[in-house]
Amino acid sequence: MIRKLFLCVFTLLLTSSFMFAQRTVTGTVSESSGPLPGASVIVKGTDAGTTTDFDGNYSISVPNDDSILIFSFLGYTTQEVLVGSRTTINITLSEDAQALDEVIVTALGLKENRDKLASTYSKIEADKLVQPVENKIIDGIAGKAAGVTINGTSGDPGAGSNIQIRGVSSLGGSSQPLIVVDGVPLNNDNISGSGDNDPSAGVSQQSRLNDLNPDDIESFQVFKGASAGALYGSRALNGVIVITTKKGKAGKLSATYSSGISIDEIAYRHPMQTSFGQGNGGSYSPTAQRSWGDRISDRSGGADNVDTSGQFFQSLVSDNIIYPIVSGGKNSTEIYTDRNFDQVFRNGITYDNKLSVSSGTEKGTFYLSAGHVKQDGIVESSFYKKTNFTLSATQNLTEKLSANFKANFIHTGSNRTQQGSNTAGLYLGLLRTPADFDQSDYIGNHHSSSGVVTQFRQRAYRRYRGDSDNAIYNNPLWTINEQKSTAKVNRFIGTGELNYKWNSNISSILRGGIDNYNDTRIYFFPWYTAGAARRYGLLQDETILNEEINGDLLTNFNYDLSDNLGSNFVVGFGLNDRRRKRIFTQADNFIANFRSPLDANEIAAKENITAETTLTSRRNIRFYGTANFDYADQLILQIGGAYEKHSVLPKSDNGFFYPSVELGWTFSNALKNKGKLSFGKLRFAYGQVANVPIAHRAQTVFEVGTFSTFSDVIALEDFGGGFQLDERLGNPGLKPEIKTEYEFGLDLRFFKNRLTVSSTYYTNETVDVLLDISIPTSLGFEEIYGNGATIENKGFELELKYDFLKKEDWRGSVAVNFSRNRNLVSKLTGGGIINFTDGSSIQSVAKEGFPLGVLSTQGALRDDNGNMILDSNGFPQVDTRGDLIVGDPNPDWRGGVQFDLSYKNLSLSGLIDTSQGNDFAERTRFITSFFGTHADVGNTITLAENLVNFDGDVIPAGSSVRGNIENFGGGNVLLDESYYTTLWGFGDGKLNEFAVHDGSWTRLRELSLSYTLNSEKFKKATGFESIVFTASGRNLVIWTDVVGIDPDINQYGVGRGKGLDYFSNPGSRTYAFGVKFNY
Amino acid sequence: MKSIYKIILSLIFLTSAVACDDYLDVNENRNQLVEVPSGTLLLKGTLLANAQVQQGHLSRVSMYYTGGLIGLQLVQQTIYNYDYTPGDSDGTWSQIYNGILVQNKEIRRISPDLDFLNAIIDVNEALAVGTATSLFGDIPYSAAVPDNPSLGSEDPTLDAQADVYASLQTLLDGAITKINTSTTSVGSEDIYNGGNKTSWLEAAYTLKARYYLQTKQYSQALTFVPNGVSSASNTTAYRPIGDVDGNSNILSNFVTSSRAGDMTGVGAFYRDLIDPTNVNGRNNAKTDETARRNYSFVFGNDEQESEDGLLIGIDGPATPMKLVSYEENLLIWAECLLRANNDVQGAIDKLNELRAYLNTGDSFNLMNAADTFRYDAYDLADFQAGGIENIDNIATDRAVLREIIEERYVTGFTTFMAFNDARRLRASDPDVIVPFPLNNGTTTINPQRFLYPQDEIDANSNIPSPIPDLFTPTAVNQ
Repeated sequence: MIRKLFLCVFTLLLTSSFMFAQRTVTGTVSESSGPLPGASVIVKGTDAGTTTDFDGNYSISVPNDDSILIFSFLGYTTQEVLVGSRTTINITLSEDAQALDEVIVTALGLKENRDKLASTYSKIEADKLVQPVENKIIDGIAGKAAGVTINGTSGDPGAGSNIQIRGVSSLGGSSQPLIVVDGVPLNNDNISGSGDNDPSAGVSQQSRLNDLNPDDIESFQVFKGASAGALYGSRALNGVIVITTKKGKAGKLSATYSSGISIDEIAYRHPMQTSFGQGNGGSYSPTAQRSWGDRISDRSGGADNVDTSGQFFQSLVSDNIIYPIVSGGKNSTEIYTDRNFDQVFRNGITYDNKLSVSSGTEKGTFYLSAGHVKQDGIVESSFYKKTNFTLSATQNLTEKLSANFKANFIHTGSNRTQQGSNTAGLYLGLLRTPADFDQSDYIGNHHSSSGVVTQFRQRAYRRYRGDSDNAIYNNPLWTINEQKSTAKVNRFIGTGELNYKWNSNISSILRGGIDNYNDTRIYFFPWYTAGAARRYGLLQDETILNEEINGDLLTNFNYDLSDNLGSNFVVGFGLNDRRRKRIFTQADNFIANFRSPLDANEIAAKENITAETTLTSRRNIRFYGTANFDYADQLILQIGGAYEKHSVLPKSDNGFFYPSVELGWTFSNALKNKGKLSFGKLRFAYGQVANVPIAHRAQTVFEVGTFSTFSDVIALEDFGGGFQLDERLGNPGLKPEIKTEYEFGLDLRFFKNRLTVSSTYYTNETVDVLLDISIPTSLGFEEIYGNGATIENKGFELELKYDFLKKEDWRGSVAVNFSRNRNLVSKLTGGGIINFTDGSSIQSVAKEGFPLGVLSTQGALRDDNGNMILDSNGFPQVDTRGDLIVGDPNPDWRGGVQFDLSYKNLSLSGLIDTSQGNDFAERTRFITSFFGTHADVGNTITLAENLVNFDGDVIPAGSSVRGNIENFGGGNVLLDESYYTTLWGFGDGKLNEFAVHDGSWTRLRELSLSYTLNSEKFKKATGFESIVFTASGRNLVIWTDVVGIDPDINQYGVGRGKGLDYFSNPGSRTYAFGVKFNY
Repeated sequence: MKSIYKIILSLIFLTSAVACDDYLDVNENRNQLVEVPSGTLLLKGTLLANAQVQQGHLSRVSMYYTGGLIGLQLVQQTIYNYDYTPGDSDGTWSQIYNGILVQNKEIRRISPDLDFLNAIIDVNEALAVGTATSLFGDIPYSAAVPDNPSLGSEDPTLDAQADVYASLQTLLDGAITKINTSTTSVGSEDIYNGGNKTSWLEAAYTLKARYYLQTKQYSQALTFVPNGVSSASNTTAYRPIGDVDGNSNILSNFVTSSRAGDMTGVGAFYRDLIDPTNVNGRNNAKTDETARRNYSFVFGNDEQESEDGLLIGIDGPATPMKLVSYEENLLIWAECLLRANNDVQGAIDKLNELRAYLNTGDSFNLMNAADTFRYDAYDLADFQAGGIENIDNIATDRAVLREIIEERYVTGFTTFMAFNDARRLRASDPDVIVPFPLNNGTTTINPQRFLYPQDEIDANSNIPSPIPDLFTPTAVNQ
């Protein structure tokens, strides 16, 4: 049905554009210093319009001689000209210091003049949002707006990113801002699901916002304050991002085709030691966990002495036969570190092709685009591909009634790589592998001494003979070649809007949208994958069906109450329905050694199959209104409010009101002599937004429980079923958490608008924050989901832009942004901590009196002055009295500098951004030092003095030993194996604090050079408007003290836990080349 | 003009009216139960939870602290070196309060008339809470799991250890009455005893005796052992199915997990003690522990275990884990006869009853057909100066007691028996303690308790601050 409608509208639009006989007017638009490219030319009273080309030339069809053309350009006075009989109209626009008529689209989808708003937002131009072949929209925002923080989660293709606006305001639920596209909320899920429910491990999930085709975006705005989001009440707690997509423009058919290729390479590698072999205590052992073995160069060289009389391992990837090494028979001095690495990583490559076509008349327009991205990731076998189709149409049905319609279809597919704290993860196996272990023969048939053959056994460094079903840690080649973590997403987004003008003052909009996607994921681990749960195979098959329906009816009243007092009122009603169904099937202990996923029933016995369906449903209705008053172009007052009712709140008390007030004073309009000042505005805003509880938390549920005290889980489902009361207590009295924000700002423009400064101070407090509150276990439950915390954020944001060069051939501008945010968890009911990073020895937590996300773990025993209390040998001791706060991953400040420089058709732009004062837990480095594989523990030093080691042994001066010298305050001591394998390592009783370091970074995030070919000669010769060539790079340089990993990477993905790396897949550096044809 | 407003207003009114509260009525949980029809459905969970309390992480830790096992690496090594942290107690504590106590409360609420079910959960509760108080000292019990818990509930206060023990005696008395008068039955949900009333009745008596023993009220203990577990078939045990990890022996689960190799019995004092080749071991002319030693060998690394076919050992996937056993009852009996009645011969007789049972070979699986065992009856002379159980010439009654304690140490392997005895006897009977060594050179006293769990410390203001450390004896052992 929808398809038919599609076709009809499409055909209608196509034909309509050719139906009207028209004539053409051409000319040039210029300013005092020369032609004005990009100026807008519109036929008054219609949607028909065009923009001037690089030389200021335009060409436009007009219906008749009575047509009026409107010429406008940002920062210049708009001119209206009657066409008459002329065919050429040349216009010179004069600069307008009075108004910079930048248009902002509010969260309701209504257009407003920037200067008539009193709240802060950041607008990111579409061309700045995405560099050529950047297929992830979110990453394109990074560093470009003050107060908006984007963190990647890994360099995996398609991996999601974390968006944070003005610090975190809540503890549970989504931490991501509301995304509104053309007035309709867009789903930006980043769901882990049951197949990836260990946040410390698994794969990087995608952010659904990245599904959009970046080419479709017309403008991208970030509303940071509560006042701007108040109309969205319960969904705007984390800010609102308003995206406007492209619509067809009236005028001739235009088409663009762009094609790009980009190359990703691993940005950083953890440095490894290559001097010492597998083993302990300086002796080689081919099954040891660690690499504290013998010095490889001390071996005799040549082949190892092996025992060929009994068992052997026959490789399936080479002709190699691997026999047990006889005691003392390790002779080989070969080192495999680099080769092992290169077998796993490659240069990723992305092909990106996009096509868009648009056309239209004053009756209607259409815009059609298609895009295809295919990315092979830096890890072998990882990929991401995305196909987009977009159709957008507008139609003026009658003089009063107009309609527009947009449909988006998206398909993505990917294969991700297991990572993190995960025996089946990539880096965990790779970085623990000793330098002297050749991982190549990772799979084969094991022949026991009695002749029993086990096929397709995994061979990993702790099982070099492949003689056990338990590989302990995966061989990285097994991870990339034998496992699968695929996801396929089909998504349809449709929005429609009817706009009816009752009269010149009143208009109504009826707007509806649906956003449906299905995400099918397969996680497959064949027999002999590391980890007890996967040893005899694990198949997880998960389908996520998500539906979101949104409807709004709003009416806009516009009246000039007097000569000086304008007013605008909006009243509206909206409803929202979000439903999700997750269907999860799991099969383990396969009945045979299957090598690829099949139906669960084929693969495992009935008792080894589990299935689970999870339904969530949320609805809300919303009544909202705004009243805007504009007095004498100086004072702006906006009052807004929304009343919402929610399904997730108790029936008796399910309604909430969210007010907002904004007040602005354009004081520059009151000044007689403004001097260099072009514009000045003081603004104040107040608003409330909220976050409602998670669905279905009112009652305590029964679960089919599992019982574990330490890696030893037994389960009711394996004992024929049964129930137990959940450890989470239900809560029938939930309230929404409410954030109240005040902000003060000052906007200034100088030198005929060439210098723009916007600064904002804000302070907000979220009360009744929802969280799983720890309650004494002795109450019978461990936690209750309830309102129990208060979070405060205060901060300062500054955005500054200066067009330092504005000549005929030369253009140059620099934009600077700076922000600092101070977060405080001022109240946390139940005391204790909220851990956002389950499963990690260093936890990113919320703790009363500290900023949200601080790092908590065991640290060194210290006295009241903070000095370490050392043991008798001069070594630190673990403070066993409980966890300490050892770091804060929140930066002291962030900033970015964007510059653009162009000469004629050549332009160069770049972005450097920085994060200062954020702590980072280098857990990978810490643990690989324990394992003896990190370069930090590969040093050989000659002692200049007698030194004591952790065990208390005195190592005499002159000794050549493996280790490092350190002074903890009690004189020099020797850090050797005894130290790194005792105080460093896993779990409790370790000096985890020592993994935490300053994670400040500064990066050259983007650098781009482009050249536009659009000379008249070229146009005539080719028929193209222009061709643009671009070369760009991303993450080119990072300056940081963090070793081996991009400190922006986060083990815990999208969410609140941050500042941790633990065998997280590495980030990438990208070089991209693109060409774009405009027709 | 006016009609426009009317139209607009009526449109708004219409849509609002449609959006009545029915539209919002979608908050019921469609995924999980919020009510179960019978308390029987909750029984199995409470028994599995208690299996973890009795035979999970803390029982393994207790073996690290009594020479039974060695923590080789990672967390196990850390704990083995006495770096025990409050977080190490979280899992077990949660099993006690959420896994058992609150479920019991729910069972009593849903099914007050199922008298035998109610009796089972009372005995199970006494088993769990007794273990908890023995390990942690003062614990929340009378104020734990209150009615209608909510965010506003008071933090539960702690009961003195002696009061907890007293409450458990009362609880067990009630359970005994219930079992004796019960008219209902429980079936396969009872994964410990398969609904056998005698087993539960006898377990209740043996538990009474166990707790009187722990509080050193030996004569009271003696009054209950005659009704205690009377045969091996009445032993209460966690009986794993053993076909997948989730229904296996807990020790088996641990050693086949990613923790394989993190702990081991190789080189432990326990193995040496029962090693027939060890001149200082406990084998003698009447005793051959070869078979039991092989059965109780925990290599700790599944690679070895599966290759050698050792799937029926104490850490085999389907090997039952004894919780309240025939062996324990006889040993309490023997000790209390000696302590309360100074009945040396009576004690030897009870010991011999156990040895006779051991000599049937039914107490353990025979790992290899060739494995030998011998448990001949002792006589008084064996304990007199110069006898095979008294070569160091101590008083006869002490020699008997020493052998009983040593037998408890060996028999109770994988349970808390050794840890409890070491703490019970530290002050009162240091001469008969099994002389396992400490795990490092810097520690001078064996751990005397486990630390209060981090989760409870964080949330319950009644937990003493600072918490008693690992080496502070609990009240009954001071």
